[in-house]
Amino acid sequence: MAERLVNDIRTLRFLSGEMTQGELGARIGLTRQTVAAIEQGRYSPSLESALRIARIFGKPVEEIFRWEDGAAG
Amino acid sequence: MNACMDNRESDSAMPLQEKRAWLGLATTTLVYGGFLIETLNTTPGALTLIRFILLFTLAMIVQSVILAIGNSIFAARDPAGFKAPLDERDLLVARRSTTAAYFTLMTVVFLLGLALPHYAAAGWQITLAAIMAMSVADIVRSLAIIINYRRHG
Repeated sequence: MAERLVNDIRTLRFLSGEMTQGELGARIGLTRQTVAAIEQGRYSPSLESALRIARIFGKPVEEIFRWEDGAAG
Repeated sequence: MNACMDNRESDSAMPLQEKRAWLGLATTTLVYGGFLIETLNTTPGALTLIRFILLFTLAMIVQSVILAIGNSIFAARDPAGFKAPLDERDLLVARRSTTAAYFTLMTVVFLLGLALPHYAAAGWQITLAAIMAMSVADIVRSLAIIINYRRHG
């Protein structure tokens, strides 16, 4: 089964005072381009970065990142 | 729709390391490609050691100047990004591309080692082959960086 990792970072940024990718990246030690790649599902962050993202948005990691069936998409 | 949800934010601006890879790819291809063509087109016997060293020195200087100018432009356009340390994605891409370049270099050197003795290669030809191997490895490294940022990175 083809699964891919998806996330809600873009929505969460929007809900967190319209935080930009650059602002989020600066807070977790990533470049804006890397945040963009994570949002697009082109790059899977390290566990450390995923936990930092979760802490910033005040949510568990599994609520932000989840597997999605590729066939359904 | 506000800027935060705008797709343009996600898609814009190539990573600095990818820009540098494009610059390195173009520079190595043009400068060392030109150097190899010029050297190989020289009539055998006419290529003295001094001429060979001068051509190689010129190639190194031209490449260094182009890279310095390119990096200065990158730094001027995005000073904060230029000073920022590499993040985990940059390091991952660098590791993958360096691995690809290493195996390319080893393979090319191995093949040259097998081939050159059969051609009774002169000293400068062996040096030229080594320069070619390093240039190929550098091109592979730049290409691997670009591909990794675009596909997987």
